[in-house]
Amino acid sequence: MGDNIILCYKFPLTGGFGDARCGGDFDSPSTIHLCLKCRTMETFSMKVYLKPTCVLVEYFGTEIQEIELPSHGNVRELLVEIDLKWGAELPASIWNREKCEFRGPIFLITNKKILNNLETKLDDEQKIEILKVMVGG
Amino acid sequence: MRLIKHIYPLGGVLFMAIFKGTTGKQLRIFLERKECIIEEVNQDVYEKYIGGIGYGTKILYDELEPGIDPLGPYNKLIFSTSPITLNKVPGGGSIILCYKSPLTNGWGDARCGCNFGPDLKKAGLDHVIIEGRSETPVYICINNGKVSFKPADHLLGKTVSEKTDQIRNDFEGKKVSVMCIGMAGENKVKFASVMSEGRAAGRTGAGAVMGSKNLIGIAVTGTNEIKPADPEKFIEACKRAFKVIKENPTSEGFRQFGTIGDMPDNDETGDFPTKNWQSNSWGKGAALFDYFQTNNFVKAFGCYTGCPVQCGRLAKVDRGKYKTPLHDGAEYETMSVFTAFVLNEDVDAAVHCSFLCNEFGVDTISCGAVIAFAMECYEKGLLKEDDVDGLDLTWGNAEVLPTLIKKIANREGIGNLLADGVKIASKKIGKGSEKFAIHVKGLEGPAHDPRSGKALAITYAVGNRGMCHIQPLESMAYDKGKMDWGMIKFGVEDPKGFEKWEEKGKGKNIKILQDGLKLPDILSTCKFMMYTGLTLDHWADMLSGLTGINIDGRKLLRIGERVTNLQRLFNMREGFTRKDDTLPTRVMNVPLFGKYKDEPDCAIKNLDAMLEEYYEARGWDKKDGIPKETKLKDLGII
Repeated sequence: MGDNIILCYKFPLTGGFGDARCGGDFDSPSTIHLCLKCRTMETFSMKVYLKPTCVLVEYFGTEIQEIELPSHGNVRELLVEIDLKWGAELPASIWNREKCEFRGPIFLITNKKILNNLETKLDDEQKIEILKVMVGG
Repeated sequence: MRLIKHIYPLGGVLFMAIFKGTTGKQLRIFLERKECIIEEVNQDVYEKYIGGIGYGTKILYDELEPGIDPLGPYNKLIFSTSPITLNKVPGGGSIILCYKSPLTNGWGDARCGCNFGPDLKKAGLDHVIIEGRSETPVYICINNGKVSFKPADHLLGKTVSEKTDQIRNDFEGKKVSVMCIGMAGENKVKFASVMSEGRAAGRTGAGAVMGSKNLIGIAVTGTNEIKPADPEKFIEACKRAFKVIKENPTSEGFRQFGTIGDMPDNDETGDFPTKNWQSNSWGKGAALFDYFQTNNFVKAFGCYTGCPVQCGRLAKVDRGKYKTPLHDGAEYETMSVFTAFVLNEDVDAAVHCSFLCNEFGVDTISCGAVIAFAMECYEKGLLKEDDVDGLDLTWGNAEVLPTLIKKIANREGIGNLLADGVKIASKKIGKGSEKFAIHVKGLEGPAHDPRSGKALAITYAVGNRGMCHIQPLESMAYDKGKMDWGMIKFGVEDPKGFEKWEEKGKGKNIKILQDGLKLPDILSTCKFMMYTGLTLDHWADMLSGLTGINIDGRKLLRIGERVTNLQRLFNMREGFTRKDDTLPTRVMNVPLFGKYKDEPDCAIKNLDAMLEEYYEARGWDKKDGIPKETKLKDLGII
């Protein structure tokens, strides 16, 4: 393959076959990510901090998690990263792998605002809580 | 007692009340004579019990003779508000019905989210007390000072929607709120509901009480304006409350997902009674929820004008044998009882059942529960094909569900047996069926399982209206869901310090939580406002601004305790004892299948010890659960 790398995977957005080719120098495979917008491989240049709260620590751990994103990273990209990192272990009750989204009343919250819009751009070093609420009845 | 027809002056102030911001009036209706009187609301009762179920409990305790037939003429049906049952108050679109329950023969109440309560106030009334029985079917119209009794023969046999439309026509375009019964209420099905615009005063059989009185509906309209004692303080308190709700993520949770949003997680965490409580999880919750969201859910809906939360779901089924028009339904409880309870995977069928229960005026929870019970009887051969009118009551048979609902509402065939609830049905069937008739005090269990969070075992066992998850308290939300409703300030321990399957130490916390969460029912407001951040102090601020009385959260808590104790006395007077504070054995045992079948710790090991701790916290005798004289005196009940 020379300097090229081909990655094959199930593409989160469509649920179908995905592949990406990239060439160039990379320090190590761990810095290779798929950028959804550009469909190119790049070294992600920003990060956000994900803090699970309440009962979600059971699934995500108690530590604040650092998530790398491309420079134009948005909520959608973050959800894909969540799926890549935890999707296989998260129960179906809280994570919908088909749609790459939380299932039920679980929200990403930053500065007391719920990140409902998937296109919302995120900022470098932004702190984001994952919060599960109870909608009892 | 004076029996006169009375037309009261519009907006007139007939008494100088300590409680400002109320109408100060209640309407007492004598159905057999088709007459009514206006009474001044008892100020002492207001001060000690405020309104809603507080007021209703006091009136019924004082005025009902013990041992009366709940479906006889001596039962009373109270439609009760509180001073803050107003559209401009968050959660204020509400009405509470209070009565002796035909399902339990004990305390009965049911709340309905709707405009009826605020519109009753606009009609110039705080409460309506209905007595006696009309010789012929009637409905009542209350129109700004005028009360009229209208013949209702033409409404019999009609659906709730049809009745509502026809009653509404009487008001010639005025904005009017209607509450009415369906066929189930007409036929005195013991878990018949009273409906308002697709919303139910569902549990414990208010619809049967209304039907027994030959009262088919009641409609209110008016233009009376409530004037707060301190308008600026009242408006500021309401604004603060709305802000808290708006900023709380739970509001968004309710709006986006409704109560059905909890279905996947409840299934996962063992809070999803399945196959008539044989298990507490099914493994299908996520799939059921996904299907509903994709195929049935249309939009969020607020049950009253001005609701900031909008937890209601407008849902439909577009095509097929369960085709269902757009309607307000598909709550978590309803969808759970018509899926997990009966092992039905067809979500369209469950949505259709929700619609039918609304149209026939049947409590969805009791209806689904009694069908699940019947299915188990059928499986075990206790009900044969002839007993069930040739129907196939195999678990999971979705097609039989709408047929059974209709039969129950009309008391036809097997429906007549089931229409009295699982307690009576199991007594009649016998043959050991009592063991899987899941109820406490006669009220069938809803779709929450104490094996997910054991605090719920206490509230189910001691609930004044029976096995109820919401009146007053969703306890598993405390130890499993880690909610505290702002009650830590009043002595509740932080729920993070409890494991969900611990049994010790919860009784005393449940006592305080019950008293606190009783307040929305006393204030005849929506309890979900407390899920979205409102605390007792918020309610107190609004109440103070409106009425001019000096009250805070702690004083409200005391009123909650008072009402709980008085309801306990009501039930004791009706013959309930410590032995009725219990749970069905099945609900306490390890599930027979599912995720938790190998988890012995989820079983309720020592309910007696939990209850003793609770009784002690209440100031009741530890062994027999009777409120001590010192406690009753302290609360000003005796």
